[in-house]
Amino acid sequence: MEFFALGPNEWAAIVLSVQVAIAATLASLPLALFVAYALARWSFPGKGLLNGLVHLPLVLPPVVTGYLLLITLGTQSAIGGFLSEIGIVFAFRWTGAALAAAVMAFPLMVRAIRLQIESIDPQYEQAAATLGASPVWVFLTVLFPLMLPGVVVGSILAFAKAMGEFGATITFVSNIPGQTQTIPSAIYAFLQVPGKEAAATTLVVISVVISMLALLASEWIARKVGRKEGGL
Amino acid sequence: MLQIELQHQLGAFSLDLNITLESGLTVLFGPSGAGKTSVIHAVAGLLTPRFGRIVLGDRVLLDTQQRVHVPTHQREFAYIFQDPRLFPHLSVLENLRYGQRFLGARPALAAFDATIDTLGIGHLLARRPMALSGGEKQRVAIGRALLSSPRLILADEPLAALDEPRKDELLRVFERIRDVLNIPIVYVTHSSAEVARLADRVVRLDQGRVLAQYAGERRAQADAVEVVTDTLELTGRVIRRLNATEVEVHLEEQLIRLQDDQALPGEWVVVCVEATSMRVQRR
Repeated sequence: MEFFALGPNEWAAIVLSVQVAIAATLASLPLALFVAYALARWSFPGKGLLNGLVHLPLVLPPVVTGYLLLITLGTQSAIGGFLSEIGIVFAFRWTGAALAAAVMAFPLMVRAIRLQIESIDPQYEQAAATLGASPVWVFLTVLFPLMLPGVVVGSILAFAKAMGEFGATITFVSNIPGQTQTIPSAIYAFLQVPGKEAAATTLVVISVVISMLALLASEWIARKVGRKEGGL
Repeated sequence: MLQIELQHQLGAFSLDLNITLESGLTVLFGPSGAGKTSVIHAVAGLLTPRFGRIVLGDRVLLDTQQRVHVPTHQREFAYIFQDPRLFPHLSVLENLRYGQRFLGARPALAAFDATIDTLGIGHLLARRPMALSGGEKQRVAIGRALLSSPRLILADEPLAALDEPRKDELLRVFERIRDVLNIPIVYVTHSSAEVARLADRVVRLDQGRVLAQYAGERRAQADAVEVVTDTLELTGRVIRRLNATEVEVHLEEQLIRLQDDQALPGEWVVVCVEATSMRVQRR
């Protein structure tokens, strides 16, 4: 089993990757719900601009996104300097890796939730309002349950994207073992060193397993939610 | 009493009317595109007109000049849509109970058990809306609306998507709501049959204007027509006596020989025909 022997750095990379992906997914969910709802249901000036901004990380080279994060949120920048004064530091910390992953995953999450909201007939919301439900109740009792499949799919997509994010992460927070080194950056690091192919392969296998588990979990949840909705 | 004063522009269509409705069932009647749905959308608060004032009793729901705009969920109106709009993720029971949690201090208007009995939906409670027929869905939607204890019911062509037998069932339901529960109803339709059955008053709309308002003539003879009989009574005149037991009678433009030993020529008689002795022949 020497093939699968994992050193402390490999373990750290795995734990960090999962931690980063979960944090990125959970932290971006509320904002993604809001943005998806706004794009699906409201019309306001600048809607096209917002849509473009949300989708930008999807079309930009990840290295560019990482660089933009570095110059806006790095400790040398105005915003980053202000944030570090109040105790929030992103550059070269695991939180920075989570932020980079969240930014890269955000368009996928918003897109899945937005499509789901657009598929819900606004007539249900009208019907709920005529029965006495305030907008908050309409959201909690009608809209959210109906958009749940999209939320699940969007979260799983975001989680998978965050697990695999490389370019923006390595640009923004570098590749520090035990601090900012996620599975993809660890694999990259191993491939730079002769004789470390076995360790790289181990991480590749683990990465495949975690992604497959996430995918199966999403299928299972989607089926459960779907049955509750359409069941007899 | 419901006062509706509206002016609104939707593309090339303009709405301009001022009507006052008493309690009972008022039908908004007119062709498609007459503005019927826009009117009840405005009453429900689903559409905000450019200019308008809507008052139910002494409660001002909308006054664009005074900047009063009570949101839909606080108007305490129920809306029965053409499409039943049952919540697909909730069971029939959960759909029916949906409005109850928002009642607050208001007393419930209709008892739950009596309502589902009247609507005949007791056996459907555990089902999902997807598993219901069109008529069943609409009955559940009506139940859901009633159980939210509305001060006014707005119904937008609630029978339009149903076949004739279902329509008849639901017309009876609306008659019951009108006569027993005594909730004012504003009912939109372009079916003159529904107007005849339901309307206390008719407001005729065309192109966003009121064409006419009049009292509805509920078919007075509706009851008589509904009586099912097994004997037909026809009036005829005896022409002549053929012999001691037979006469010739002029009946429905024809001469017919009938068994009788008393009637005299020239006499008007009632001829009874048993349904069992009649047969249907297709033309």
